[in-house]
Amino acid sequence: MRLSPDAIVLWQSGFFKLNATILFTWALMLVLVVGAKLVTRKLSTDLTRSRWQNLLEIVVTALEQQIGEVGLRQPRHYLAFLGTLFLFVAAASLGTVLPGYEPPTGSLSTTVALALCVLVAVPWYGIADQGVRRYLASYLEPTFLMLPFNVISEISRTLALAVRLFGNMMSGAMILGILLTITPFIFPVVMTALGLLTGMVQAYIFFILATVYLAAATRTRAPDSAPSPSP
Amino acid sequence: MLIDWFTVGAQALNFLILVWLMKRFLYQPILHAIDAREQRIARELADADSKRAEASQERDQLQQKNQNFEQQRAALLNQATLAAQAERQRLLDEARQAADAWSAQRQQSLANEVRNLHRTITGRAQAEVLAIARQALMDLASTSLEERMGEVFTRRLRALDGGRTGSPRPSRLRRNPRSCAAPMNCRPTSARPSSTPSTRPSPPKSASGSKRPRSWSAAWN
Repeated sequence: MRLSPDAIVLWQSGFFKLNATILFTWALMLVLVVGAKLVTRKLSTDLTRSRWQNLLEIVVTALEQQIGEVGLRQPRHYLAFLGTLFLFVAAASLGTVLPGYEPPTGSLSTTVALALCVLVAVPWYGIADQGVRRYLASYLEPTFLMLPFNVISEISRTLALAVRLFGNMMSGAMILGILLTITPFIFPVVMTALGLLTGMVQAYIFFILATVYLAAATRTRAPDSAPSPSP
Repeated sequence: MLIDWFTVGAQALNFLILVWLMKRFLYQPILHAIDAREQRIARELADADSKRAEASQERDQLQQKNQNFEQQRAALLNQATLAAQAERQRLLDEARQAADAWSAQRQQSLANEVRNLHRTITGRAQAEVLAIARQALMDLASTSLEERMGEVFTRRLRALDGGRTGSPRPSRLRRNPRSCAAPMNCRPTSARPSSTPSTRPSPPKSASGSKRPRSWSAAWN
């Protein structure tokens, strides 16, 4: 039984290989970039604008507003990374309506890659915001004894991110495949709709958790690391 | 094994590339467009505010001008009213003076007419009295009366002649010569008809030979 599109290998040369995960990821990237390019090619700064521009403006401003509501001070600074996380996971989920499509997020390799990106982005933005010493000192809060637990927390939440998204996406595709063999007509359609909803919810969860991690690394830790008066 | 580490690396790279591409082709253009639109709207709102303020200022100025105009109009109207009243008073005075002048002139002419009328009436009355007296004298004339009259007439003529030559005029005539307009009245109180004349003396004739007594009165006067 195939649990991941990684198993579909189209080409392999030693360590390098081209599987369905990478291929569908490229397809998604192509659709997203070309679509964005087509829409933003003729942007209007007037009060009247096209429907697609309206849609993209709604998406971008909603993401920016959501990032700001979570607590990041400069939402536009993090919009590229966090917004792309949401759009990629959501687009991968929306693509399941196409026959023969396998979502790349149904591969644990993809979710791990995304979680690793978040794992790297948190100290990256944290150091850029607070500096190396203050960021590393945050792992010693409230005492140095908490250092291992803080490190384990970072790793475990990254693992949780990856496995949560993979489990949900894989289970959706898996349930759909099983139902197709049992009740091939009506019920899979309903489950596909449910899978769309689940995919959008997972995209939002992944996006909001990554935002919360970044906010925790940048803003909320800053007051804690501030020098307090000695008793 | 569910994790293919090459795929993990490739997907991470793909994701980073996608982040860059989306930032390049989606987020930046969209955010720039939104910012441009917001700036434009803000600029238009600022323009609208400035225009509104300008319009409000112009409206205030117009109201001020209107008030000034109304005040000037009221002042001019008041001034014109006063001038019209003064002109009316002046015209009334002129008309009154003209009416007074006309009235005085009319009264003068009426007085003249009255005077002329009196003169005419006096003349007629004198003529009538003379005619009546003449008629009465003609009717009542007798020789003695005519003689007496001729005597008196002669005496008075003499007295007149004496007055011219230095003799005094009789005092009664001197005092009131007009009282002798009628021959009967000019008889002295002491003069009384001594006798009834038997013959009627012929009255003195004038140079023209007329018997009219007009020359008498002319002579007495």
